[in-house]
Amino acid sequence: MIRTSRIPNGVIVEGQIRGQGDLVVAGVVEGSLDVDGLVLIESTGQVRGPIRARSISVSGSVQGPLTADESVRLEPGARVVGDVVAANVSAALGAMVRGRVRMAGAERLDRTEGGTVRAPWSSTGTLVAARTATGMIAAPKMERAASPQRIESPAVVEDKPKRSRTVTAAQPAAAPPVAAPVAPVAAPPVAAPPVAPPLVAAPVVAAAAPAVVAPVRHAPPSPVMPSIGRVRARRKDGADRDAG
Amino acid sequence: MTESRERAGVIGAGLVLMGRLRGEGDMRVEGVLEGEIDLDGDVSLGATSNVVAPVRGRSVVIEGELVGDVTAERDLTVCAGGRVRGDVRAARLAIDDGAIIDGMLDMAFDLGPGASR
Repeated sequence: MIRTSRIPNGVIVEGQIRGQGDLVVAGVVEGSLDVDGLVLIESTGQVRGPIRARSISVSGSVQGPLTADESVRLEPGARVVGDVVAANVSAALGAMVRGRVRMAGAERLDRTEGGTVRAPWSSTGTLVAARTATGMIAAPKMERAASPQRIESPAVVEDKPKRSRTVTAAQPAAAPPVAAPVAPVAAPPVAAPPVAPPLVAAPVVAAAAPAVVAPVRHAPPSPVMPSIGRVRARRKDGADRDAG
Repeated sequence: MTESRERAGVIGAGLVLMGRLRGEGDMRVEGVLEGEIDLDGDVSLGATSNVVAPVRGRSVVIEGELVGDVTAERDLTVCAGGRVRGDVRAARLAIDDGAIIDGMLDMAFDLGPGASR
Protein backbone atom coordinates (compact mmCIF):
# COMPACT_ATOMS: atom_id res chain seq x y z
CA MET A 1 0.00 0.00 0.00
CA ILE A 2 1.44 3.31 -1.03
CA ARG A 3 1.04 5.81 1.73
CA THR A 4 3.12 8.51 0.14
CA SER A 5 1.33 10.70 -2.34
CA ARG A 6 3.18 12.82 -4.83
CA ILE A 7 2.24 15.87 -6.85
CA PRO A 8 4.93 15.91 -9.55
CA ASN A 9 6.52 18.91 -11.12
CA GLY A 10 4.26 20.35 -13.82
CA VAL A 11 1.02 19.32 -12.16
CA ILE A 12 -1.24 21.97 -10.75
CA VAL A 13 -3.81 21.10 -8.11
CA GLU A 14 -6.63 23.52 -7.55
CA GLY A 15 -8.51 22.59 -4.43
CA GLN A 16 -7.85 21.09 -1.07
CA ILE A 17 -5.96 17.93 -0.23
CA ARG A 18 -6.64 16.13 3.01
CA GLY A 19 -6.32 12.65 4.43
CA GLN A 20 -3.79 10.18 5.75
CA GLY A 21 -0.24 9.45 4.75
CA ASP A 22 2.65 11.48 3.55
CA LEU A 23 2.61 13.97 0.73
CA VAL A 24 5.37 15.17 -1.53
CA VAL A 25 4.70 18.29 -3.54
CA ALA A 26 6.94 19.05 -6.49
CA GLY A 27 4.21 20.74 -8.49
CA VAL A 28 1.77 23.49 -7.62
CA VAL A 29 -1.07 23.30 -5.13
CA GLU A 30 -3.56 26.13 -4.98
CA GLY A 31 -5.49 25.22 -1.91
CA SER A 32 -5.05 23.73 1.50
CA LEU A 33 -3.10 20.65 2.57
CA ASP A 34 -4.17 18.71 5.63
CA VAL A 35 -2.61 15.32 6.20
CA ASP A 36 -1.61 13.33 9.26
CA GLY A 37 1.85 12.40 8.02
CA LEU A 38 4.74 14.30 6.58
CA VAL A 39 4.47 17.00 3.98
CA LEU A 40 7.51 17.63 1.85
CA ILE A 41 7.54 20.64 -0.43
CA GLU A 42 10.35 20.15 -2.89
CA SER A 43 12.32 22.96 -4.42
CA THR A 44 10.04 23.09 -7.46
CA GLY A 45 6.95 22.82 -5.29
CA GLN A 46 4.64 25.73 -4.67
CA VAL A 47 1.73 25.81 -2.29
CA ARG A 48 -0.67 28.67 -1.95
CA GLY A 49 -2.81 27.83 1.01
CA PRO A 50 -2.54 26.64 4.58
CA ILE A 51 -0.62 23.46 5.36
CA ARG A 52 -1.37 21.22 8.32
CA ALA A 53 0.58 18.03 9.00
CA ARG A 54 2.51 16.11 11.58
CA SER A 55 5.76 17.40 10.19
CA ILE A 56 6.50 19.73 7.34
CA SER A 57 9.68 20.16 5.37
CA VAL A 58 9.92 22.97 2.88
CA SER A 59 12.45 23.51 0.10
CA GLY A 60 10.04 25.28 -2.25
CA SER A 61 7.69 28.14 -1.71
CA VAL A 62 4.63 28.38 0.47
CA GLN A 63 2.16 31.18 0.80
CA GLY A 64 0.05 30.39 3.81
CA PRO A 65 0.39 29.33 7.40
CA LEU A 66 2.35 26.20 8.30
CA THR A 67 1.03 24.24 11.25
CA ALA A 68 2.73 21.04 12.36
CA ASP A 69 2.27 18.91 15.44
CA GLU A 70 5.91 17.99 15.54
CA SER A 71 8.31 19.94 13.43
CA VAL A 72 8.69 22.37 10.60
CA ARG A 73 11.97 22.31 8.75
CA LEU A 74 12.86 25.05 6.30
CA GLU A 75 15.61 23.99 3.94
CA PRO A 76 17.86 26.31 1.95
CA GLY A 77 15.80 27.81 -0.84
CA ALA A 78 12.57 27.65 1.10
CA ARG A 79 10.34 30.68 0.70
CA VAL A 80 7.56 31.00 3.21
CA VAL A 81 5.11 33.81 3.65
CA GLY A 82 2.88 32.97 6.56
CA ASP A 83 2.91 32.07 10.19
CA VAL A 84 4.79 29.00 11.33
CA VAL A 85 3.50 27.07 14.31
CA ALA A 86 5.05 23.81 15.47
CA ALA A 87 6.64 22.17 18.46
CA ASN A 88 9.96 22.52 16.69
CA VAL A 89 10.84 25.00 14.02
CA SER A 90 14.21 24.99 12.40
CA ALA A 91 15.56 26.81 9.40
CA ALA A 92 18.73 26.42 7.43
CA LEU A 93 20.73 29.38 6.25
CA GLY A 94 19.18 30.33 2.94
CA ALA A 95 15.59 29.78 3.96
CA MET A 96 13.45 32.87 3.75
CA VAL A 97 10.50 33.53 5.98
CA ARG A 98 8.04 36.32 6.49
CA GLY A 99 5.61 35.64 9.29
CA ARG A 100 5.25 34.92 12.92
CA VAL A 101 6.90 31.88 14.44
CA ARG A 102 5.58 30.17 17.48
CA MET A 103 7.16 27.04 18.85
CA ALA A 104 7.02 24.94 21.97
CA GLY A 105 9.04 26.48 24.70
CA ALA A 106 7.84 29.93 23.84
CA GLU A 107 5.62 29.66 26.90
CA ARG A 108 8.78 29.24 28.91
CA LEU A 109 9.83 32.56 27.54
CA ASP A 110 6.69 33.98 29.04
CA ARG A 111 7.81 32.96 32.46
CA THR A 112 11.45 33.51 31.99
CA GLU A 113 13.40 36.26 33.58
CA GLY A 114 14.10 37.71 30.21
CA GLY A 115 12.74 41.18 30.53
CA THR A 116 13.96 41.34 34.06
CA VAL A 117 17.63 41.22 34.67
CA ARG A 118 19.12 40.19 37.94
CA ALA A 119 20.97 43.11 39.36
CA PRO A 120 23.89 41.81 41.37
CA TRP A 121 25.09 45.29 42.21
CA SER A 122 21.94 46.25 44.00
CA SER A 123 22.06 45.87 47.74
CA THR A 124 18.69 44.24 47.81
CA GLY A 125 19.51 41.82 45.03
CA THR A 126 16.18 42.50 43.49
CA LEU A 127 15.30 42.15 39.87
CA VAL A 128 15.33 45.29 37.88
CA ALA A 129 12.50 45.42 35.46
CA ALA A 130 13.60 46.14 31.97
CA ARG A 131 11.12 47.24 29.43
CA THR A 132 12.39 45.75 26.29
CA ALA A 133 10.61 47.08 23.29
CA THR A 134 12.58 49.05 20.82
CA GLY A 135 12.60 52.74 21.41
CA MET A 136 12.18 52.47 25.11
CA ILE A 137 15.84 52.38 25.82
CA ALA A 138 16.21 55.92 27.01
CA ALA A 139 13.41 55.74 29.48
CA PRO A 140 14.45 52.64 31.39
CA LYS A 141 17.99 53.88 31.43
CA MET A 142 16.98 57.00 33.25
CA GLU A 143 14.98 54.99 35.70
CA ARG A 144 17.82 52.63 36.14
CA ALA A 145 20.17 55.41 37.03
CA ALA A 146 17.67 56.40 39.64
CA SER A 147 17.01 53.00 41.02
CA PRO A 148 20.03 52.50 43.24
CA GLN A 149 19.40 55.86 44.79
CA ARG A 150 15.75 55.15 45.08
CA ILE A 151 16.70 52.39 47.43
CA GLU A 152 18.78 54.74 49.46
CA SER A 153 16.54 57.74 49.48
CA PRO A 154 14.06 56.50 52.09
CA ALA A 155 17.07 55.87 54.24
CA VAL A 156 17.94 59.54 54.34
CA VAL A 157 15.57 59.92 57.20
CA GLU A 158 17.89 61.57 59.62
CA ASP A 159 19.85 64.68 59.11
CA LYS A 160 23.08 65.13 60.85
CA PRO A 161 22.52 67.80 63.50
CA LYS A 162 25.55 69.83 62.51
CA ARG A 163 24.57 70.15 58.91
CA SER A 164 24.43 73.70 57.66
CA ARG A 165 21.76 75.31 55.56
CA THR A 166 23.84 75.28 52.42
CA VAL A 167 24.39 71.59 52.65
CA THR A 168 20.74 70.82 53.10
CA ALA A 169 19.97 72.98 50.12
CA ALA A 170 22.62 71.37 47.97
CA GLN A 171 21.42 67.93 48.78
CA PRO A 172 17.91 68.35 47.47
CA ALA A 173 19.24 70.12 44.42
CA ALA A 174 20.86 66.87 43.48
CA ALA A 175 17.86 64.89 44.51
CA PRO A 176 15.08 66.00 42.10
CA PRO A 177 16.19 63.97 39.09
CA VAL A 178 16.12 61.00 41.38
CA ALA A 179 12.95 61.76 43.21
CA ALA A 180 10.99 63.03 40.26
CA PRO A 181 10.67 59.92 38.08
CA VAL A 182 9.92 57.65 40.97
CA ALA A 183 7.80 60.15 42.81
CA PRO A 184 4.59 58.10 42.92
CA VAL A 185 6.43 55.22 44.49
CA ALA A 186 9.13 56.72 46.57
CA ALA A 187 7.73 60.05 47.65
CA PRO A 188 4.68 59.13 49.73
CA PRO A 189 6.44 56.91 52.24
CA VAL A 190 9.13 59.51 52.58
CA ALA A 191 6.72 62.36 52.86
CA ALA A 192 4.45 60.71 55.37
CA PRO A 193 6.58 61.17 58.45
CA PRO A 194 7.60 64.79 58.81
CA VAL A 195 11.09 63.56 59.34
CA ALA A 196 12.63 64.36 56.05
CA PRO A 197 12.01 67.98 55.21
CA PRO A 198 14.99 68.21 52.88
CA LEU A 199 13.57 65.57 50.59
CA VAL A 200 10.00 66.74 50.71
CA ALA A 201 10.74 70.35 50.25
CA ALA A 202 13.49 69.72 47.79
CA PRO A 203 12.05 70.64 44.40
CA VAL A 204 9.96 73.52 45.65
CA VAL A 205 12.45 75.19 47.90
CA ALA A 206 15.42 74.76 45.64
CA ALA A 207 13.68 75.99 42.53
CA ALA A 208 11.08 78.47 43.64
CA ALA A 209 12.14 80.31 46.75
CA PRO A 210 15.81 80.30 47.48
CA ALA A 211 15.38 83.80 48.85
CA VAL A 212 13.11 82.73 51.65
CA VAL A 213 15.46 82.30 54.55
CA ALA A 214 13.99 79.65 56.70
CA PRO A 215 15.28 79.34 60.22
CA VAL A 216 17.87 76.62 60.23
CA ARG A 217 16.56 73.64 62.00
CA HIS A 218 19.42 71.33 62.71
CA ALA A 219 17.48 68.25 63.64
CA PRO A 220 14.02 67.44 62.39
CA PRO A 221 11.52 66.43 65.03
CA SER A 222 11.13 62.76 65.68
CA PRO A 223 7.91 61.21 64.60
CA VAL A 224 5.32 60.35 67.18
CA MET A 225 3.91 56.90 66.77
CA PRO A 226 0.60 56.54 68.58
CA SER A 227 1.25 53.18 70.11
CA ILE A 228 4.91 53.57 70.88
CA GLY A 229 5.38 57.22 71.56
CA ARG A 230 8.22 59.29 70.36
CA VAL A 231 10.78 57.16 68.61
CA ARG A 232 13.90 57.79 66.75
CA ALA A 233 13.66 57.14 63.05
CA ARG A 234 15.84 54.34 61.83
CA ARG A 235 17.65 53.93 58.64
CA LYS A 236 16.16 51.20 56.55
CA ASP A 237 19.49 49.59 55.93
CA GLY A 238 20.18 49.47 59.65
CA ALA A 239 23.42 51.35 59.30
CA ASP A 240 22.73 53.33 62.47
CA ARG A 241 21.56 50.41 64.50
CA ASP A 242 24.72 50.14 66.56
CA ALA A 243 24.93 53.87 67.05
CA GLY A 244 21.39 54.24 68.22
CA MET B 1 38.78 37.05 9.66
CA THR B 2 41.59 36.27 12.05
CA GLU B 3 42.30 39.92 12.40
CA SER B 4 38.71 40.74 13.21
CA ARG B 5 38.65 37.91 15.72
CA GLU B 6 41.63 39.39 17.44
CA ARG B 7 39.94 42.71 17.69
CA ALA B 8 36.70 41.19 18.90
CA GLY B 9 35.46 42.58 22.16
CA VAL B 10 33.94 40.51 24.90
CA ILE B 11 31.48 41.21 27.67
CA GLY B 12 32.39 38.43 30.06
CA ALA B 13 30.04 36.09 31.82
CA GLY B 14 30.15 37.96 35.10
CA LEU B 15 29.67 41.35 33.58
CA VAL B 16 26.57 43.46 33.47
CA LEU B 17 26.31 46.22 30.91
CA MET B 18 23.49 48.69 31.18
CA GLY B 19 23.47 50.93 28.20
CA ARG B 20 24.28 51.20 24.57
CA LEU B 21 26.86 49.24 22.72
CA ARG B 22 27.64 50.81 19.39
CA GLY B 23 30.37 51.46 16.92
CA GLU B 24 32.52 49.28 14.72
CA GLY B 25 33.98 45.93 15.54
CA ASP B 26 32.93 42.49 16.58
CA MET B 27 31.50 41.85 20.00
CA ARG B 28 30.77 38.76 21.96
CA VAL B 29 28.45 39.00 24.94
CA GLU B 30 28.58 36.33 27.61
CA GLY B 31 27.13 38.35 30.43
CA VAL B 32 24.11 40.51 30.96
CA LEU B 33 23.39 43.43 28.70
CA GLU B 34 20.47 45.72 28.96
CA GLY B 35 20.04 48.60 26.60
CA GLU B 36 20.95 48.48 22.95
CA ILE B 37 23.44 46.83 20.65
CA ASP B 38 24.11 48.63 17.39
CA LEU B 39 27.34 47.54 15.79
CA ASP B 40 28.92 47.57 12.36
CA GLY B 41 30.37 44.18 13.04
CA ASP B 42 29.54 40.68 14.04
CA VAL B 43 27.63 40.19 17.26
CA SER B 44 27.52 36.93 19.09
CA LEU B 45 25.50 36.36 22.21
CA GLY B 46 26.98 33.44 24.11
CA ALA B 47 25.20 30.66 25.90
CA THR B 48 25.37 32.40 29.26
CA SER B 49 24.24 35.73 27.94
CA ASN B 50 21.05 37.41 28.93
CA VAL B 51 20.40 40.36 26.71
CA VAL B 52 17.47 42.67 26.90
CA ALA B 53 18.00 45.01 24.02
CA PRO B 54 17.32 45.60 20.39
CA VAL B 55 20.27 44.18 18.52
CA ARG B 56 21.64 45.29 15.18
CA GLY B 57 24.74 43.89 13.63
CA ARG B 58 26.31 42.56 10.48
CA SER B 59 26.09 38.91 11.38
CA VAL B 60 24.42 37.88 14.60
CA VAL B 61 24.74 34.56 16.39
CA ILE B 62 22.48 33.86 19.33
CA GLU B 63 23.21 31.08 21.78
CA GLY B 64 21.75 32.65 24.88
CA GLU B 65 18.60 34.46 25.78
CA LEU B 66 17.59 37.61 24.00
CA VAL B 67 14.55 39.76 24.55
CA GLY B 68 14.36 42.37 21.85
CA ASP B 69 14.24 42.80 18.13
CA VAL B 70 17.17 41.59 16.07
CA THR B 71 18.35 42.97 12.78
CA ALA B 72 21.20 41.32 10.96
CA GLU B 73 22.52 42.81 7.74
CA ARG B 74 23.81 39.41 6.74
CA ASP B 75 23.32 36.16 8.59
CA LEU B 76 21.37 35.58 11.72
CA THR B 77 21.87 32.25 13.46
CA VAL B 78 19.86 31.11 16.43
CA CYS B 79 21.72 28.12 17.83
CA ALA B 80 20.35 25.27 19.87
CA GLY B 81 19.55 26.61 23.28
CA GLY B 82 19.21 30.11 21.93
CA ARG B 83 16.01 31.88 22.80
CA VAL B 84 14.69 34.97 21.12
CA ARG B 85 11.64 36.96 21.96
CA GLY B 86 11.22 39.69 19.48
CA ASP B 87 11.02 40.38 15.81
CA VAL B 88 13.72 39.12 13.54
CA ARG B 89 15.04 40.81 10.43
CA ALA B 90 17.89 39.33 8.47
CA ALA B 91 19.20 38.81 4.98
CA ARG B 92 19.70 35.14 5.77
CA LEU B 93 18.42 33.22 8.72
CA ALA B 94 19.27 29.91 10.32
CA ILE B 95 17.28 28.44 13.17
CA ASP B 96 18.93 25.39 14.66
CA ASP B 97 17.05 22.52 16.22
CA GLY B 98 16.38 23.35 19.82
CA ALA B 99 16.28 27.07 19.31
CA ILE B 100 13.22 28.97 20.40
CA ILE B 101 11.91 32.04 18.68
CA ASP B 102 8.82 33.93 19.56
CA GLY B 103 8.21 36.77 17.20
CA MET B 104 7.87 37.88 13.62
CA LEU B 105 10.33 36.87 10.97
CA ASP B 106 10.80 39.45 8.28
CA MET B 107 12.97 38.80 5.27
CA ALA B 108 12.95 40.48 1.91
CA PHE B 109 12.33 38.07 -0.94
CA ASP B 110 10.00 37.27 -3.81
CA LEU B 111 7.91 34.17 -3.86
CA GLY B 112 8.33 33.77 -7.59
CA PRO B 113 5.98 34.03 -10.53
CA GLY B 114 2.28 33.89 -9.87
CA ALA B 115 2.79 34.23 -6.19
CA SER B 116 1.40 37.67 -5.77
CA ARG B 117 -2.24 37.74 -5.09
